[in-house]
This record gives sequence, structure tokens and C-alpha cells, in this order.
Amino acid sequence: MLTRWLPAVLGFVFVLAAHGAVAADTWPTKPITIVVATAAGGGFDLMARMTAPLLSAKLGVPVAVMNREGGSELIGSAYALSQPHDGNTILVVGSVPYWYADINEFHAPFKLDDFDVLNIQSEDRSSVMVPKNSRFKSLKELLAEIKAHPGTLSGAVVRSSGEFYNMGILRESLGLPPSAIRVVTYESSTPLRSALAGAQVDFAVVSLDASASIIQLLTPLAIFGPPVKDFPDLPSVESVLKPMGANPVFVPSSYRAFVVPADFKTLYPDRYKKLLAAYKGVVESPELIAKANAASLPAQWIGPDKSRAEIARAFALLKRHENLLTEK
Amino acid sequence: MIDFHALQSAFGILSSSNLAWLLVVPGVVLGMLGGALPGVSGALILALVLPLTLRMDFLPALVFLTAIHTGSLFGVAVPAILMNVPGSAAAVATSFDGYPMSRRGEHNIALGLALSASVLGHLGAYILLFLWIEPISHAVLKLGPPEMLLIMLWGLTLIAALRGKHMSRSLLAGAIGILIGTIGLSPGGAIRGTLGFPALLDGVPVISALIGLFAAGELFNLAGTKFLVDAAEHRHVRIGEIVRGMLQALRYPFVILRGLAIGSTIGGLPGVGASVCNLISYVETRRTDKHPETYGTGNPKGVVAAEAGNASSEGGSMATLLALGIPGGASSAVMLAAFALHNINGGPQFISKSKDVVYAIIMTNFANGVVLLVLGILLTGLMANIVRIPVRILIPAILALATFGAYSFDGSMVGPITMAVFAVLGWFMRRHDYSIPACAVGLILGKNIEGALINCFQISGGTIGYFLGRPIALTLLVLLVGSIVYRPTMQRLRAWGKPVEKEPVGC
Repeated sequence: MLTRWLPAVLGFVFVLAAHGAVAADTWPTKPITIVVATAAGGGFDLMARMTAPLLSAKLGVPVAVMNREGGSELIGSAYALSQPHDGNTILVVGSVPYWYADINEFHAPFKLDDFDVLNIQSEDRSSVMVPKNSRFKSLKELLAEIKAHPGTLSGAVVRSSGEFYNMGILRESLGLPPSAIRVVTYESSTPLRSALAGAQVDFAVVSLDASASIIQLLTPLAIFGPPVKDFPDLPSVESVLKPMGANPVFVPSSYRAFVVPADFKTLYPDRYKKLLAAYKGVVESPELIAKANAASLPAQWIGPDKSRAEIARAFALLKRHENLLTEK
Repeated sequence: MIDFHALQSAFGILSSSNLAWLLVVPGVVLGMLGGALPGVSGALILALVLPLTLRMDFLPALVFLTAIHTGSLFGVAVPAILMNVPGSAAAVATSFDGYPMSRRGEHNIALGLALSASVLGHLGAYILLFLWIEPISHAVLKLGPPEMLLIMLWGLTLIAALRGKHMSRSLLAGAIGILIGTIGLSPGGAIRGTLGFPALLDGVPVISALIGLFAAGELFNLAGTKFLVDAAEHRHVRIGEIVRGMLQALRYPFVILRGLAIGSTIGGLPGVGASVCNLISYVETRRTDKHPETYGTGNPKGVVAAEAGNASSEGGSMATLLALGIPGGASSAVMLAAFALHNINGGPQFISKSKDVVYAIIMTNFANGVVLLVLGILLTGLMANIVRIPVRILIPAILALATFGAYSFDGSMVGPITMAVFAVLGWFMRRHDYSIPACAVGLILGKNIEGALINCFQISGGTIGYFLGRPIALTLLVLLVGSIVYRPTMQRLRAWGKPVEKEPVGC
């Protein structure tokens, strides 16, 4: 009996062992999924979709993009963590500031240490915008009006976004109370931009990239941080504030990052190395750089260590301005 | 009015894949069959094929989805006429006169009338959309949070006022829908009603909930009956008589035009959509007719009015879908999701930036209308046969399909569980005469209503002057109050035994 079955059993064991060995050596063998924590069509989605085919070519397996939006990017982040930590699921998320809100405000079922950020691939930038025919032609004029008649102008922001913080930091740096601006919160930048284009609100602090589709109806007044290529003449908010004696440090608009679960590195060190190398090659490839620049989503490689440090720095900054989330 | 450059570009999109046009016929057929099966709405069929279209390019997906949508709007009339069971709320008024015609043995003619009115209403509404999409795109930006809030509330109350025996119950159903719609992360950043489930953070999955409310609710109801149709003499179908009915509809051009006007305006109202247009068109045609007493006894004009109003609502709802990004009804909600999955996001910037895609969508619908005309004649007979499937086979089959649809929508058990919960709710509401459409619209719009209300407070700083300075908002407020108090007031006046002239409701 045993002898009759032995070859079959041995064969089965051998096949299993061989399969295990193959899996360890030649990962990836199965398609890889990039989970994007926002809806299809936004900057995050675009970044993932331009990266996916190049990553697929490097790794030799299909790389699919899946959108899991909602709940301040909490749903997508939690979903990615719920998948096996075997490298077959990669998360694309706005690590800052959305994780901060998820973890500190929304009781997220994860903490920052659960993730290993491979790279902050692109940084969005905040800007101050007004409707096309606004009476305000510069940030200086806008701020003067807010100071002269506090509580009369409405400013739109996406709730929990970097812009939400930056509007508050801007206001505080001028010594103005929360009631100085009628803060109008939106769930995403799409309805916000429609409202701004229709002059339903007086101004908005909104990410610059996301507004490209409707830019003919909006006028950007200033950008947070150094100038950008598409708007070389746009002054920085910092340079407008300086003569007023204000010198605030603003938070990043969003750090669009490629992320894996933290224990992937310890569970599968070889796969981690392989994935990181392939992904680095993609980000630094001329194809991606050309695509990314064309889409105004410039790609950068700063690697896991620097990404982690950047996120920690931003978290500390957000922590300092925690009061903005609760004050009315 | 017409951007010829975009039009040219639209033809470029449409001719990019000839293969896509092969999908018109199966799309219209599928839509008609889905519409003809009571409880299986066009929205359900759209939701079922949605995962399929993810694998397609944009044009084939667009052609397929709009063809299904078009087919389903006519399909619902078939069981309404043959069995007095409207395939959806959109065909309620069709049954008022269509069914009595069938009882007289004129079901072939009634089907022909409905088909003709449907095709003409559909084509007419899209011609209006083709001409007016530009002014709409400029006007919508002027609609701020107060206007949006009032339009949404008005849509809800209009449904409540027109549907269901008990208006207060319908209003309550709408309020329940709004409350369910606010589950999840609020526009103000608070988490509510999730019971600790992360899956509910983004709110109740609307499409699964709609499948449960409408389809499963209706099927539970049907389980109490033995046969979908038991009158054998209603089953024969003659093509010649159908064509005769189609020609007869052309004798009532004003009825069709009235339905077109009502459908393409009311149909554009978010949340009201097709469910209400057929009723208003019917009510108005009856009111202005010399012999209102003949309605409800098999008057062909009643069928034409209802179907013209129903079919033209699609163009209206497509306008708000494209220009505002707001779905006019359940079907458009699924279409919106489908567009989003193909990176087409309705809204002002879409209309101003992607006029060629808008024109392509309109052109596709012209083609759908023509195909509907031909297929409608050929397939009404077949569809009548489908409703003869025994209930005991039909129900499990449809329930299984619906469950798969809910599952595949986001690939988790959240969909089927939501569907099951809402099926029970739908069954309960139906049993106790609470308006399911009102609840569904409340559910779809709940978060938008809340967001608009919060934005009103935020922008105005709590001052009423902001609101008083907006004439559109004030007009809408009058309509909203009117639609709530009109019916009870009229009932009270009638109760005094005085015949009163009907006053304009404002719609």
C-alpha cells in the first residue's frame, strides 16, 4: 500500500518543494496590484498609472492599478494592509497629511509604523487661488482685505488636506483669530474648484496640480514654497508675508508615496530588495521622467530613509498645528 | 451653440472603433429585457455589466452602457402594459391606460404607441441636449450651495408628493434615506453611524443598497404570488398591430411635445429623473384634455404622454449628469460611476474641457434611438414571453445575479451584505407603503444635501442676507414649500365639497 502510494506522495512533496523554491527565487510570479487610495482620475491615480507599465516591464509580471478611495485615504491604506504582506500589493497614498488625520482623528486601524514608505515620488504644491474676475489681483490685496474686514471673506479648502492646515497657518501668522476667515470645507478638490470657478467663495487654498483642468476659470495668486515651472511668475506666499513681519513654516500639500507594509522587508528581504531596485530604476528612467513632466507630476527618487525622515518631520509640524482641526 | 470643432473631434472619437458599434444591439436588447423584468431595473443591468466595461476601452464601454440605458427605459413599459406591473417607477403612468387597453385586447397597439412615443421622446430630448449643453454649462456654475440644497430637497418632496398614497410616509422615507446617506465620514470631518466598520467610512455602498431596495424588495413581494402573468389570452403578439400602434402615436404630436418639454426639464432635476416625469406628463395631458374622464380606461393618449415623458427624461438627466456631475436617478448614478472608472468625471470642467466627449455621448444616443425603433418592433413579442417565466424560477435566478453584481462591484462581501440588509428594508417599506424611490433618492443625495447645507452656513457666516440676495434660491424655496403644502391643501379644499380649479404647482 505504502509503496504503491509512495512515488505519488514523494512526487507531490517534490512539486510542493520545487514550487516553494521557485516562489522564493523568482518572485514575482503573480500579477502585482497597486492600490491607489483616491478615486480614478486624480494626481495619485495618474502617478500610479504612469508608473505601473514601467514597473511591469522591469518585474516581468502584469502590474494592475486599483482605486480604493474614501475616508481621507484611510480605506485604501487599510485595504492594502489587509492584503498578504508578500509584495504583491503596493499602496499609493498621500502619506502626508492624510495619514495624520487618519491616525489622530479618525481612529484608523493602523499606525505610521505599520508602513514602509519606499519613496515619496511626487510632492503636490499648495496655492492661493481666486475666481477669474475676482477684485483681488494679488495675495497682498486679499490679505489686506481680510485684515481690514475680518470675517467677511470666505476661503475654501479640502478638509484635512495640507491646504486646510496652510490656510490656518497663514491666518495665524498674521495674528488673526479663526473667525477672520469664513472657512468653507469640501470633501474633495473637484466640487471646491467648481465653487471657486462660479465665484461661490472669495478664494481658496488648493493644490496647484489638481486645478489644471479648470485653470482657465481660476487665477492663482501665490504658491506655497519656491516657484514652479508652469507658473514662473507666481510669487511665493512666504515672499508676500515677509514684509508683513510674518515668517511661518507651512506643511507640505501632499507627499504622494509608494508604500508597502512594514514587515514585508523582514518577511521577504529578497523580494523587498528586488522591488526597491526595480522601482528605483523606473523612477529614474527617462521614460517616466518624460511622462511625469508632461503631466506636471515631476517624479523624484529620495528612497525609504529620506522619505521616512520627511514624513516624521511633517508629522511633527502637523502636530504643532493640531489646534486648527478643532477650533471653530 | 454648437462647437463645430468639438463636433468634428466627436466624430473622430466615434469612428475610432467600428467594433464598438456592434455593442449597440446587445446593449439595447439587454436593457429592454432588464427593463421588462419587474424589479430588474436598467440601473441593475448597468451595475451588473459595469465590471465588464472596465476591461473595455472608453468608446465601447460608453456605447454599451448608453444602449442599455436607452433600452431599459422602453423595456419597463412592456410589463406595465401587459400585466399592470411597471418594470420600474418610470412606467407607473404607462400602466394607467396601457393595461386597460391590453384588457380590451389592444395590447399590441398599446405596445406600439409606447415604443413610438419612447423613441420620439428619446431623440427629441437629445436634440435639445445637443443644442443647449453650452448654456447649461455656464448656468450651472451659478448654482451655489443654497440652490443645490433646495433643488435636492425639492426633488425629494416632489417624489413624496406624487408617489405613494401617504405623503407624510413618503417624506419620512426620504428623510430615512437622507439619514442612511449621512453614514460615514461627514463633510465636517466627523465619523457617524459606521458601528466601527471601516468599510462604512465612505458611506453605505449606494449601488448595492439600490439593488437591495428595488430589486430584492420587489422580488420578495412577488414571492407571495404564484405567476407573474396568468392570463393566457394576453400572450399572443402581432407585429402588424404593433406597427399600427406606432403610427397612431404620430397623431398626437402635442402630447409628445408636452411630454418632451416636461421630461427634459424635470428629468434634469437631480433625484427626480424618470420616476416623476411620466406621472407629470400624464397628469398634465389629462388635465388639458377635453375628455379627462376617458383617461384610466384605455385612452391611447395616456400611454403616449407617459412614455414620451419617461423617455425624454433621459436627455434631461444626462444634462445634469454631464454638466453638474449629479445623477438624475439610479441609472445615471451607475452611469456616473462607469464614466468615473474611465476617467470621465462629469461637472463644469468636463463640459468646458471635453465637449467632444459630450457630443460623442449625444451622438451615441441618436444611434441608440434608431436601433431601439427597429429592435423594439422585433423584441416586444420576445419580451412578453420572458415575463411568463414561472416566478419560482425567476426569483432565485435574479437574486443570484443581483448578489454577484453587488459582490463584483468592489470585490468584497460588503456589497452582498449591504444588498441583503436593504432588501429587507425595501420589502418592509413596500409592505407598509413607504415610498422606495423617495428613500433611494434620499440615500443617494444624503451626503450632498448635508454638504450643501454646511457650505451655506460656512459661506454666509450664518447671515440670512446671503440667502435673500439669491433670487434662484428664493424661487426654489417657493417651489419646495408649494410641493409640500399643495396636496394637503387641495385635499382639505375638496373635503369641503367645493370643486376647485387646479393651481400651477410650478413644475
